[in-house]
Amino acid sequence: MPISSLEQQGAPVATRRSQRTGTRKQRGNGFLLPALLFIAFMTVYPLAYNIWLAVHGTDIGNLLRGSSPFVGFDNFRTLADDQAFRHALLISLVFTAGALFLQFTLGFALALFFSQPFPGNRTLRALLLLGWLLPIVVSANVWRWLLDGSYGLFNAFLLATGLIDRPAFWLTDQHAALTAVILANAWVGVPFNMVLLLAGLQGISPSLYEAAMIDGAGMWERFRFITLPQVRAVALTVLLLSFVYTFKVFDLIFVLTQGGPVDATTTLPVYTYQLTFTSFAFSKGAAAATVLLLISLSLSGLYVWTIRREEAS
Amino acid sequence: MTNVSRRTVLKLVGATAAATMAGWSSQDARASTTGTAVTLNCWDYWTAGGTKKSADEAYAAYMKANPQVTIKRRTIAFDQYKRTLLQAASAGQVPDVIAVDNSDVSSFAALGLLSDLTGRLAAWSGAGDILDNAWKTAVWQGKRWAVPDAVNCLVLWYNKKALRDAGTVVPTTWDELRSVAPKLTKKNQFALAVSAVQSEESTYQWLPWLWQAGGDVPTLDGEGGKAALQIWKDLIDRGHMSRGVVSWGQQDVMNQFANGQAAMMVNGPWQIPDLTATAPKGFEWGVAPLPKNEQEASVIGAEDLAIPARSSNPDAAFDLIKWLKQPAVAKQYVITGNQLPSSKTLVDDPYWADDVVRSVFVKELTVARPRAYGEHYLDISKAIQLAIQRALTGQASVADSLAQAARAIKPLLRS
Repeated sequence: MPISSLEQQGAPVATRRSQRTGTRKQRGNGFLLPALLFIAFMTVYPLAYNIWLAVHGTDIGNLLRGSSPFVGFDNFRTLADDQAFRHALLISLVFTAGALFLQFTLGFALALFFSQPFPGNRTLRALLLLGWLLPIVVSANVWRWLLDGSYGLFNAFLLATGLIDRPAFWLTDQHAALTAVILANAWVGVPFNMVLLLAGLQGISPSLYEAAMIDGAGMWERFRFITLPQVRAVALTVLLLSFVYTFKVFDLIFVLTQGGPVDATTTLPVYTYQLTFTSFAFSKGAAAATVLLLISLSLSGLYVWTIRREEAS
Repeated sequence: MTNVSRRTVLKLVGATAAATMAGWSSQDARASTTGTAVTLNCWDYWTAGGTKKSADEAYAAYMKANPQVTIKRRTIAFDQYKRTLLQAASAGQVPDVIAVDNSDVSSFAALGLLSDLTGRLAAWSGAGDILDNAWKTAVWQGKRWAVPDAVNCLVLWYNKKALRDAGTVVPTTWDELRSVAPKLTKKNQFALAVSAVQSEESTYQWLPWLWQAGGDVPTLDGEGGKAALQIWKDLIDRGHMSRGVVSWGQQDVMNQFANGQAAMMVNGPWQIPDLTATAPKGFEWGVAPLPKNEQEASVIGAEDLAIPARSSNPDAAFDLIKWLKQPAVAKQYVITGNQLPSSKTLVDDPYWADDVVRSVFVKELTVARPRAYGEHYLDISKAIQLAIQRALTGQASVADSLAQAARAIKPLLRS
């Protein structure tokens, strides 16, 4: 076949193809539309509305009557001067740090344990996951009964083993209450940490350990120089996700203590809820929610930045 | 082949959607133009038990009697209720009848969520049959924004065996309570259980004591307030009431009582079915009025029914409410819901008046007061909760806790 005829044939083919890619692209956009709409309505709109509320003066008098005045950063300034807000922020940080420390270390220890083959491994692992799968309201209520001062199982155990000599009122005592909610949250969070870290551990090539053993590395050295660096990326992900989940925990605390006694467990989300639905200070509540969002966002930013830097190097 | 079937499916979906939309619009058109077929959207948070059943049955009966009306009931979990309502109201998509916790009526009215029923109520003969103290829960700024539904109040429950074993009778005054408390306290048994958790439940439970002592919310840090908080604190400090009360809701209080760990408790009529179900076999209990001090007092709880300000069928909604309040209908409704009637006729009905337990409740209802302190009530209540908890956990003295709360409450009461 002469070249010219090929070219002649080729030309229309190319045109047709470009037409087809065009329609395919359009069709692709069409398929994207539901997802975009979903995100727009379920994520972008509430976020935008929240920020709108945060810079307006919306309260019980004008939420439904309209005409909320624009107040700029006034709500944030009021919050900064609000002793209850600062207290809630502090409680939130202590709660998150405590819960993260507990659930990460315990989760990691369990992941190491389950990465070794032993009979019943899978069954036990599945059972451990139950805690994470239970609705929070259920586990929170169970913890409330366990931790109760007069009939709680937790006290019975501590008394029987002689660790305490008189019943402790975990949810009633100003200082014990925060510890108790941290404990309960860690219990819920451990399986999540464990599963992700276990996946990370299983991703490490056994040949690395074999090589290290031939080189005479002991257990600690294998852990320190192979396991830790290899799970670093997963661990970072786990920590970040746990932070975001824990920082915004509301239901668990609300069921356990309702933020009490005397606001001892009133974290930022609980405080935000009270501002909005007890005081009807909608804009102030939205401002507090925005602070909550900014803290989580900045941590996510830090995470993305770390991961990028790591991938680049 | 696949193309054809996909197209067929799409066509079908499209046809169904079109049909559904057509159906909706024609229904709406009928409702608004001729007034014959009406759909009433009714929202409440009665997700389980007797109250859920009572509303289902009453609505079914109403629809049977009024075939042109379709009631669409939506039950929303209590903790989501306010949020859902406010969201709906901001979007202009309100239901036609809503159940409102009677302590929330003034704040809902202040929000502009409710329609003013004062005019409609003036023209309704049934209004006079509703208890005066129940009406007070529906008033804000001199106008009526709701109609009392079934009501409840708190009484003193006692474990008959525990009292027999201790050789005492049920206390009728604070002094008697103080003197029987030590006798009723033993290993694994406290004399009394109340709810002092950081929520509306503790305010609800404590207000009767405040009123009994002659105090009131505007004079919270006066002698009455101090006496009312002191008696709770004394009971705890002397070991007659568990320190756990600070974390107990009213359901926990009921569990303590049913397990025999509290010889007496303060609680409401909605606990009757639960207590019957959870208490061990042969558990004997009785109820009595709350112990009085300067005077008798209890608190009136449960819901009022309101019509949202932008309801599309306010006339039909009001008709439903009026129908529900007819003594014959309300009787069955209140019985199924394990509540108390807000109707003067029903309070004297033998079902309540002649029953050994229920008569105590309806009698206590006559001294029950509303939590009618204006639209900032929840904030006021929060201050009271903190005062109760500060004093009971020993973080501050009774006087200091109340003084702090009184300072917080003062600006909230002005409306």
